[in-house]
Amino acid sequence: MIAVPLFVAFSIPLLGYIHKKAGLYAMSATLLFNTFLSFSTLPHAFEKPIRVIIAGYKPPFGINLAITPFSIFLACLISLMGFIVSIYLLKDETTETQEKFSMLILLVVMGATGIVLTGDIFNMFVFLEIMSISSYALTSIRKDRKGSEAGIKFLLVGSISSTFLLLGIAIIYNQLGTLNMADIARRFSQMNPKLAFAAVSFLFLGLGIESEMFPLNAWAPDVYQGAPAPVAALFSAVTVKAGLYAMIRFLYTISNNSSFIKLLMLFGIATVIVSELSALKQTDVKRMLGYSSLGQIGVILFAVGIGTKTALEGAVFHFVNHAVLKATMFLSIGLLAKYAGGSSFEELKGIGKKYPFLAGVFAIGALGVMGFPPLNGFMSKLMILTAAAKAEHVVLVMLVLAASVVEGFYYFRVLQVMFREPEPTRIEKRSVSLAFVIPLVVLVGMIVGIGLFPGVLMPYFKGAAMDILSRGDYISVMLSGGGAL
Amino acid sequence: MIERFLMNTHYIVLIGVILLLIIGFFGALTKRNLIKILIALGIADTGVNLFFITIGYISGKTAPIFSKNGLTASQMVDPVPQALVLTAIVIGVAVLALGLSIIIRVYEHYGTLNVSRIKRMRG
Repeated sequence: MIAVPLFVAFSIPLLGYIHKKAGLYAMSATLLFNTFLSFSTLPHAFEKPIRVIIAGYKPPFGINLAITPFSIFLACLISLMGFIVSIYLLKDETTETQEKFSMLILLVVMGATGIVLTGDIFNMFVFLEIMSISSYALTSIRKDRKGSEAGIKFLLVGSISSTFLLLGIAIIYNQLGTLNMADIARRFSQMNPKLAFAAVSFLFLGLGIESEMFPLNAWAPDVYQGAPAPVAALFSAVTVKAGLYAMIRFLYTISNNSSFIKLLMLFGIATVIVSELSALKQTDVKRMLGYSSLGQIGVILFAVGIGTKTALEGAVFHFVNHAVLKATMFLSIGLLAKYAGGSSFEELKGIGKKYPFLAGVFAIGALGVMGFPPLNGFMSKLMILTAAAKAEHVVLVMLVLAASVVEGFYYFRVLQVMFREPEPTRIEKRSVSLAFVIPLVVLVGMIVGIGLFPGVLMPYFKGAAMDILSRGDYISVMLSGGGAL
Repeated sequence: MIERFLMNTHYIVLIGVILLLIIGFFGALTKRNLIKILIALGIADTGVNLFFITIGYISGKTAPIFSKNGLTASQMVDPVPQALVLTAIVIGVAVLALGLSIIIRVYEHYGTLNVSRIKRMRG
C-alpha cells in the first residue's frame, strides 16, 4: 500500500511520454488499488492488529508497520478520499503541469497512509515530511499570486514544525535508545520527568502545527484559499487527519500524558471559538470554508481531549464526517468558483439559479456541517456533546453549541447569496462534465447514507476508539507478535 | 537526572546547538526578508541535526565504518543517529530548494521580498 504508490509516483513522468493523460489515469488506478487493499484488510485487522516486519529485523530493533484498527480505519478513509478527489481531477484543466500534479497527489496520499500505518517514530517523521513537502508544492502549483503566497507561508510554518518534531524525537532517542513506538510506550515512564515534559511539549507543538490547532493554525486559512480547490479538499480530508492521527497516537499510546490531553481539549475549544468567529467576517467563500474546517477540527480535538470512550467514538465518527463534508464543499465550490470567475461573495451572487445541482450539493454539505438531522454531521456532534455532558464539561458544551449557531449563520448567508440574488447575466450555463459529477454524487450519497444509517459504521468506531484507549494491548501485540499479513 | 544526560554529550557542542537554535528561531521570527527567514530556518535545522549526532557520541569510540581489521561493533559510536541525520539533512535540503523556488514565484508576483507587504489575503 505504501510501496506501490511510491513506485507509480516516480514512474509517472515516464508514462507522460507515452500518452498525455496517462499520468492522471495511473494516479486514479493506484488510488483505487489502495482503496481495495485497505478495505480488504479492514476486517482482518479488527480481530487482531497486524504487525508487518520489514527486512527481517524483529521489533524493537527493526522498523515495522503497525496495522491497528484505528490505523487501518484511517487508511481506508484516506485512500477513499484520495480516490474520489483523483476522479475529480481527471477532468480538471491544468495544462502542462498534469504529470507533476498527479505525482504530487500520489505522494501526499502515500505519505498520509505511511503515517497512519507505521509503528516507528522516525518513520512517521519521514512520512510526515513527504506529505508536507508535496503539500507545499501542491499549494503553489498554479503559480498564481495567491497560491505562491500561501505556499511560502505553509512552507515556513511547516519547517518550524518539523524542527520541533526532530527535537522531540532526539530527546526521546537519547533517553530511551529506541525508535519503535511500542517500545517507547512501554518504557516512557523511565524517562527523566523534565526531559519527558520537554519531549512531549516539542512533539505537541510540532504535531499541533500540522493538525491546525489554535494558536498554531494561522497558516491554514491562507492555504485553503490559495490552493486550487481539489487540493484544498485533499488537505482538509487527508493531511490534517494524518496529523491528528499522529497527535492522538503520540499522546494516548506513547506517552499517556493526561495533562496534555486536557490541554488538547482546551485548545480544541479555543480553536472552535476563534475559527467560527473569524469565519463570520470573511468575504471569500474558500477562506470561510477554511475557517469552518478549522472549527470542525477544533471539535475533534475537543472530543479527543475529553478522553472517555464515547467521546473517542464520536471523534472517530467526526473524522469521517468532516473529511466527507469538507471534500464535498471544496469540490463543489471549486466548480462554482471556476464558472463564476472567483470565489468571493460578489462573484457568486445568484449562481444557485444557473447551476442548481452544484449549489445544491454545496447546500447539502453546509447542512451536514451545521448538524442537521438526517445528515451525518448530526450524529457525530450528538455523540461528542453527550459524552462531554456526561463528563461534566457543561460550559464547554454550551460553547460548542453557540459556535454551531454561528456556523449556521454564516452558512445560511452564503446560501442566501447563492440562491436568492437575481440571476447574473454575465455567466452562461455550461454543461458540467461527468467526471466532476460522479465524485460529488458519491460524496453526497455518503453524507446522506451515513446520516441515515450510522449503525453500519458504528462497530468500526467502537473498535478504533478501543484501540486508542488500550495502550497495553498495543504494546504487547507489537512487541510479541500479531497476526500475519 | 540532568547529569546523566550531560555525561553522555559534550558541553561545547551542546552550547553550539543551543546557539544555533536561538539564532535560527530568532531570525525566523524577526527578520523581514523572506530569504533571510528561510536561511534562519536552515540554521535551526542544522542545530537540530547537530544535536542528534551529538546524542550518539560515546567518548573514546570511533566512526561506525568497518575501516580497520578487527573493528567490532562495541568500538563504534551509535550509528542510528547518523542514519537519521542523513535523512533529516536531505529533507532539509529539499525544503530549502522548494522554498527558494516558491520565493522566486512570489517575487515575480509581488515585486518585493518584504514579508509585511506580502499580505494580500488578509480577511
